[in-house]
Amino acid sequence: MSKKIYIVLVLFLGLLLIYKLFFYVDIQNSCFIKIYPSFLELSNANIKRAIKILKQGSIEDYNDLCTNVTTINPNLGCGGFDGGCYYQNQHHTIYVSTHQRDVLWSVGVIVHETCHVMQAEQNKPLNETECYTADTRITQKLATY
Amino acid sequence: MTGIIEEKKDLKNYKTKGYLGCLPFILAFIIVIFFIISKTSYIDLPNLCYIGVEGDLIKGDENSIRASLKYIKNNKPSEYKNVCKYVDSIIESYCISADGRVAPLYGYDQPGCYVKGSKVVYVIPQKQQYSTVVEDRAKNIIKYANYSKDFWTK
Repeated sequence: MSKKIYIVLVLFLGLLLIYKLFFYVDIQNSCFIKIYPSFLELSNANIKRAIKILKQGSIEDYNDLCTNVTTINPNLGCGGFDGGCYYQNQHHTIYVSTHQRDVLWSVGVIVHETCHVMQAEQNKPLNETECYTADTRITQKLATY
Repeated sequence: MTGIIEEKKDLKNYKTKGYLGCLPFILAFIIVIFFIISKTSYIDLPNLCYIGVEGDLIKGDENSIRASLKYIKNNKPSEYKNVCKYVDSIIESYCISADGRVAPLYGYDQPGCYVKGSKVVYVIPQKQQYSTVVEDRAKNIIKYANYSKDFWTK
């Protein structure tokens, strides 16, 4: 009996850990985002914190993220360390490898890559200037000096 | 019958001793965890104040951030309450709020910033070479904590 309880407890804790590390869930705003595991940052804490800041600080950008992105991959993409990336053949997935950088930078990268997903959704060419402008806009909006 | 009762008592004593035997390891584990946490954050248990400190190892000095928080605690108790309530992380880094490819970089000349939507405060990396560093940092941390309070109470 005690062995069964032990197994159930371990399973429960394991599932809870997976949920905490690899999913961002906001039921109220219907926002469900998978965050892949990565050796670069095991906890994905930086990305989750950046998403929460976006939610509180700029709800329009948060809604764009929730509507257009289903998966965040924190492993290295074409943006290299501290950067982000969007591949057109991976719809609704963005790469955010900003584990070494501060959280404001991470918010900027998330908004930048979400901008590319939206460009692809609207069948527009991927325009870097538009997305650099978007990440500049969000960081300027959030930083209070 | 008596033998069985004694055997049960022995078993109980054995189990209790087993748990007590683990106690030093549990204590050592708690001390190690507390040491690690205190090196990566600021903790003031009596005032239930916990603030994460992410220092810049090369250009900065985490200890002066902790010293600033102690300075606020000792000299400005009412502001200290605000700081503990509305700041959960202090990042020692430049608060850059523009992408240099489309706009001039902004933030390098600022002493730090508060990030709206969070309880995160930035202070620029500084070595504790000047006697005023702790006081300057304290002043900025109080200013940004007030911005955070404004955001969360509006």
